[in-house]
Amino acid sequence: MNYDDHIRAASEFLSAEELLLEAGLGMAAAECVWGAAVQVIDAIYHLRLSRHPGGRDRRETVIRMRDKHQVGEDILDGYRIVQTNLHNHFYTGRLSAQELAASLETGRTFVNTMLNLAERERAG
Amino acid sequence: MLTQNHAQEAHTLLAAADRAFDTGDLREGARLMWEASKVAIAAVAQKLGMPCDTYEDIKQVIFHLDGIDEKGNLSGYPHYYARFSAAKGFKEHAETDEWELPEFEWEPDEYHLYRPSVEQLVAMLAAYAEDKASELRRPYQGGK
Repeated sequence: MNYDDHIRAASEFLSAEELLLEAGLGMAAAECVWGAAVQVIDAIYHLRLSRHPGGRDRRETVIRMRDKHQVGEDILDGYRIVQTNLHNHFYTGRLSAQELAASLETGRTFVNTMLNLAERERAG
Repeated sequence: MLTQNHAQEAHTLLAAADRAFDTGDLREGARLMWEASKVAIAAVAQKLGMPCDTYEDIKQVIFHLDGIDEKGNLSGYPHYYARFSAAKGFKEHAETDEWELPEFEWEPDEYHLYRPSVEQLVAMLAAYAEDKASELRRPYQGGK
């Protein structure tokens, strides 16, 4: 997958999340936000490197975006929440309605921030 | 004042966590990070007249601060929860002996990476606890 494929996939996952949540499928919605996060991070990663990124590569990509674009710790909170809350919820379904809602909101904000940074990275 | 005592205790615990991390004792550092978070949350709970005895009580204080109701309706971006999730991570890493899903266990660098979020949480809670007007703006409406 190239940059455009990843960005398209990230947007598709975000749209699917909305529909799944409306249908009451919280576990699937959570995984869609995780999927969107992975896709947008991989898009940024693939602007520099062609090999497939692992978990550490993704974390380092987010740290690089934080430092380069001065977006603060919110972006790391977002990454941690999509990875440890939402992706975990897909396996365990353990998040309460309140935790799921907070995590989804944080996760969507993270993905949208990363989509914006991806555009800047590509342009820059 | 009790609030100042809470804030001081939280900062003492954060400093102790740093020392534990410096010596490579990640688990003790994680425990101290969680303890610092609990102390800071307890100060706010006391202000609001909310219980803070159990982990569920603690989460409800955070949800209240973010304006998240029992059905999961939000009133905006969950700033407190975003930081609290780091504290929650430290709690899990202090208490978990064997990970059911090993992919969720932090690597050593992540302990340092997520420390600033807990520091910010403690600072936000201290600011809230000291602002008497805040408790009047959003009084606690009910139980768990």
